[in-house]
Amino acid sequence: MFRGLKISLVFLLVLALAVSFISGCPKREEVEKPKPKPAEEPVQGGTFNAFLIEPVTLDAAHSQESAGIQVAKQIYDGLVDHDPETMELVPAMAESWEPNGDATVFTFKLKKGIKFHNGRECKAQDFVYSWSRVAAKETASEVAYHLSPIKGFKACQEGAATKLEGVKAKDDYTLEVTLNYSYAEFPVTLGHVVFSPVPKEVVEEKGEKFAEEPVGTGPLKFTEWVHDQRIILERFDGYYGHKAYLDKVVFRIFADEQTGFLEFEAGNLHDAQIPLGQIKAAQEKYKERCLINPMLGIYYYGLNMETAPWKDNPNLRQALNYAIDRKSITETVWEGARVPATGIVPKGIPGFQEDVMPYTYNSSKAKSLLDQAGYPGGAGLPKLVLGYNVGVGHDKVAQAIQAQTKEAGIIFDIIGYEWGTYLDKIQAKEVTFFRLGWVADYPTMDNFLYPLFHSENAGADNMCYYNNPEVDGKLMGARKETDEDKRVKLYQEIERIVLNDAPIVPIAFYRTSRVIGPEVRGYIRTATDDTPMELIWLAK
Amino acid sequence: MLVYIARRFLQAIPVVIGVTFLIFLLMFILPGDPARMLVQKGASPEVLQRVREAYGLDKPWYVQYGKYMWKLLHGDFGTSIRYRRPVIDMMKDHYPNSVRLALVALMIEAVLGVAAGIISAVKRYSFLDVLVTLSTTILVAMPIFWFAMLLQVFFGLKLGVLPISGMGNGSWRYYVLPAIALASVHTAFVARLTRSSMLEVIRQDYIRTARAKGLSEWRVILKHALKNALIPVVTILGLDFGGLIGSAILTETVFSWPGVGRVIYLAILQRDPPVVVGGVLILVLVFIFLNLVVDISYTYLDPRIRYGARK
Repeated sequence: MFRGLKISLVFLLVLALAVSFISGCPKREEVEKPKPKPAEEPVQGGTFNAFLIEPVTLDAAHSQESAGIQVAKQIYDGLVDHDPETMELVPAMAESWEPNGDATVFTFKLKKGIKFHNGRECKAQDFVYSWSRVAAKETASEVAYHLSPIKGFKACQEGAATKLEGVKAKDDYTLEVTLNYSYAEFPVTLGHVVFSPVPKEVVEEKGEKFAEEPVGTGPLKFTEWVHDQRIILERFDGYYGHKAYLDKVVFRIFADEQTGFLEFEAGNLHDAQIPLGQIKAAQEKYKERCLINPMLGIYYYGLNMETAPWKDNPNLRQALNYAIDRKSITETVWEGARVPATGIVPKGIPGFQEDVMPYTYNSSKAKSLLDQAGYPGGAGLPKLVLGYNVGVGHDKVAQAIQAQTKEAGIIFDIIGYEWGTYLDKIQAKEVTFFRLGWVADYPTMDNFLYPLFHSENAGADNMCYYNNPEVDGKLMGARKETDEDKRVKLYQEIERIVLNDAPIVPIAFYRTSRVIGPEVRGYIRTATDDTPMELIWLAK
Repeated sequence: MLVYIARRFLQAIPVVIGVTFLIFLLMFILPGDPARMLVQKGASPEVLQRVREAYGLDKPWYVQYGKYMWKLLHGDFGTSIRYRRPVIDMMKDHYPNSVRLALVALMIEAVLGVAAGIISAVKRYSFLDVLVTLSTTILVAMPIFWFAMLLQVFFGLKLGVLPISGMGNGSWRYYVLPAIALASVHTAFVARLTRSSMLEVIRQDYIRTARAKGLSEWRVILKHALKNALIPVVTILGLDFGGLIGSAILTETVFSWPGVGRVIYLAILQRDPPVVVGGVLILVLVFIFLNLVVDISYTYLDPRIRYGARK
């Protein structure tokens, strides 16, 4: 028996050596440097293989998760768009638009000859139908709230009306939108995919199937969706704008980023998401083919403003803000894939303030504020528990912060919850110290400050239950302000007030973490973490 | 036999009712509001209430269960709350993929597991026996996801001989790695079970008699010993098939295999009761059917077993 055991051990040793030898061999795909770009002319044709997680829906009326939006943005188009590099507002299906004096009525002139993928021309009436469909009660759209500023939205949501009162087709190419209140930045919000027109006849014919076989006016048209396997889009030759170079885009669907990244490394994908923990290695290997760009999102810790010990204790909230070394967390835990938050509104949003954050890492200042808060050296501080949602690395951030704040005397336990339970507990004020993130739907300061800090949104997006009448008033004032400079100044002031009140602890701003193949050209990962596929071409 | 089969089918009815009731109840006991899971932003109490009304989630659980069962009686498995797709369509998309993968894994399990078990028993304490024992211990001890990733890196990335993930065009090549990963632990169990079962049978008098009659050793083993030793193995294999379909979540995730295990798992996380109940219900029916097949196969393996016959 022992002889047999010995032979087996030798066999296993040899096997292990063979495995380690093979794993040490150079990989199949040698890293190619991108070819020089300036002299290159875009090449027409080819198939782009893209990474994707299974989307929930491709119906514009329900598009809310990033995978679905990534695909929907290729299929649909709206009145306006955002420049993929600068995020500035640019016309899309609208030729021009004009607000009235107090920004309550907007008149959009549509470009003529824009076609749906089924060949029919898209006219102003299609916007009336599509927006009313989103607002209608029976649609039960998860993203209908984007249309809430439009007159008649509430009646539609309650089922009292089926048509949005505030949206009118003055003629085939003129759309008039009346709002409930002055909202100068309203056109910026129209870049969201939920405002895209859909053809009534196709929606009615397909019913719920429209979510799986969508038709829009975008640069790529839908061809096939094999669930959990692939989505195929093809170039729409009748597109009114910049026609796609590619013949076809195949979104290969993966269960996780890790497998997608392996497929990229094997040369089977043209782009991939870099998994957390492999960012530094990927940057070293793929150099400028790694796209680690600013993203319009913030990762923060929220404090419930209606419960002890956070309630009525700004010194404690500020102490916590001073006790955290954001730079070391972004560098060690996130490998630079996120950058330290320097405020609430991230870089890339018009009005971004570079040095608005009053809190830099200062342990002694944190200790002194803790004394002023009535907890000298942390004595008497009730037992704090930080909640986070499990499964996506938030535990590592929580542990790092736990170690840092301990130094200042702020000691807390950490508990991970499954996502569904977690949101309920925060909403019910059972978890009063929590991790959350916010990614912008459109590049405005309002899209951060209004949902997160207006008291009207308490318990919804304002999970801190922050309620400051001064901030509420200024937010509504900023929405009404038609002068852009004055409006930005108002929002900047609001950001400063909120930061001073410290209902949240801003931790980091998100960044994209994509990698692209050596032959890929014209690839832009936008600050809203999507890619306009019509700009991509493949070098030969 | 026909009476027996009919009786078994009738016995399945309370099982189906019990399972649907239990899962429905469990989904409601689980903390987490399905409406809250559906709405990511702007989830004010009014919005959440509207979503609950739209999906009938505002009704008490027993009303929802009653409605579900009524629809089920009419062949309607309901609609997914999250994906807004008929559950039956989701199952049609994913079950065949899981069944195909499970069949390949079962073949690997049956062939390799039984063969390794026989060799191990016949050549007891030899190098081969130790090798099988060691290999099965390693396979059982290795986390499936880790083993699966090793297979991907080695055969997919380094050697580039097999696809890393997905089903591609449905070619057999796409099945190899996920089926090996899925079958790994089960193969080890089957090998161990076959070995111990064979060792027990080999000691029986009728085996000695067979040998005394001058039959060749392989004829004794394969014709006389194996057939009797296979009864517990067949039981395990039969039940494993259902297990391979329902418990393949890790394999499906690592290989991005479009199977039903992952669909059910995600539906639990997303609090999507129609998908969970529908998915598990089909799985239960598969189990019931396989149990019946296993029981019937006993009559072939052991002629002493007869169903429905008078004693």
